Amino acid sequence: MMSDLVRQHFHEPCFIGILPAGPKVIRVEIDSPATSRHIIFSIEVEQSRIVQARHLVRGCPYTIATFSYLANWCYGQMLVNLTSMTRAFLIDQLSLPATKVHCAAMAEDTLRQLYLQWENT
Amino acid sequence: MHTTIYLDYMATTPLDSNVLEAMLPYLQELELAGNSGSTHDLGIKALKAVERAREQVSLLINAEPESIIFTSGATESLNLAIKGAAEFHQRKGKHIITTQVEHKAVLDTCQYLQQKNYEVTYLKPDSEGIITAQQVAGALRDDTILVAIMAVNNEIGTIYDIASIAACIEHHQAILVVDAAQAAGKIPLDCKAIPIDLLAISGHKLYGPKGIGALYIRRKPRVRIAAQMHGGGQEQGLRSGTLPTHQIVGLGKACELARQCLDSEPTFIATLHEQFIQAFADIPHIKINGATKARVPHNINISLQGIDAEALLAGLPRLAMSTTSACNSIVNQASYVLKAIGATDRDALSSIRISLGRYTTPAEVKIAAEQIAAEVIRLRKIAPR
Repeated sequence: MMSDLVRQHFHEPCFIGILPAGPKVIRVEIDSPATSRHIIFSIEVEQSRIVQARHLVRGCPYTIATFSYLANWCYGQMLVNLTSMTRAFLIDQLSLPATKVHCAAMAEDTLRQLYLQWENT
Repeated sequence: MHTTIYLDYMATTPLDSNVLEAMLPYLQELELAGNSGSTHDLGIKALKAVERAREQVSLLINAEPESIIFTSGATESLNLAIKGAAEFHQRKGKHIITTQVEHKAVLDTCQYLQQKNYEVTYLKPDSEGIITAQQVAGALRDDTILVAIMAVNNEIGTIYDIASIAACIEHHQAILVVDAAQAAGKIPLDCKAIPIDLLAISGHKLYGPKGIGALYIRRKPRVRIAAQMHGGGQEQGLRSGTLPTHQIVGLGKACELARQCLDSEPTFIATLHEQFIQAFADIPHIKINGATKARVPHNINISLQGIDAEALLAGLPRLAMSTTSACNSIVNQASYVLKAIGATDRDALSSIRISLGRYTTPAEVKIAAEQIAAEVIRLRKIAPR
């Protein structure tokens, strides 16, 4: 049974789209044909703060909800905070069932990758 | 119109009101509550009801009433047929032929027999899910004792040419087991015209109650199988256990109604099928799975490129449909039937099954098609290209 928050983000996902490539934009893409998941998550950073976040997502309702929640959460966050977001927090916030905890794992991994990409540029 | 539009008739069918009416007295009235194995008046009344139902079932498949035994459902019937035949005839050989697209009741039973040192050949279907008689003939060996094949596929609706398959093994020792769970009531089945040895029927797939089914066992020439349930000797010693009179009466009535509707109902459902197909014509990047011609109209299995089927169903809570694939933290469960006919994991995970039935209306089809189209558009908008 979906939590109210999952239901909300699934039916009305936030910040849909893709940021055009640029010096302040970093983008992570996850494409897993075996699981039918495909996510493109992009953020724009100014003075170490995330000023824009966008995402496109194909996946189950929990995948859609998780990344919508994530995009919403990213807004205004300091870049360094990306590494503080944990799957445990997401599982708790979204009341993810045991069969869907991988959505939170993917989200945590996405944020780590975004941070590492920024660090390496 | 109900709040939910039911489009999952191949998962189960609602109980027909006439079936319920037939069953109720056997649940409510003391006079009809007897054990059909008892010799007193109540038992005799129960027995008469059971035998009347047996005849009703036999008429649906043009068989003799004595060739029908009652079980708890098609799964049990198939277990009894396959394990019973394998056990009884193992001295003639231990090779079994089936297909990659059978119901799990057949596949899991065959896998169980592999653990008992039976060898199983799983025939691969073509891209429409079709298995030919030539494939079956080509797989036959001197030690083949069983061929298990479905009459109609539960996921993609393909109809199998049971008559040709039966003909190609008629003079071979192999016993033909037919899973007719999705076929009974949808297409004609004739056990006198076609040399079928064992045939399974499911009550809840033809507007009867859940928890009851039947197994047809050919009598001329007599097919022998080993019982799998012991204790009481009911059903010619092949399926012990007190007979559930009310369930059997329900199955009998359901079969009687199915026989009466066999000419008209598929035609009506075919018009609903066509209505759905026409409504989907404007949705780009879709694929109808299964045979184009040799199919039951009750089934529409459709792959919708670019979306996840689980998400689609979640976005349409007022439509009761199914997806035969699922993804969770443990495994990717892309439909093995769709994979067998050549679908990729992605295609399989973007597929839904719509199944139509006796109570589906054109208005429901219109609403459902519109809602599905709208949700597909929404999900494609938020997905990467």
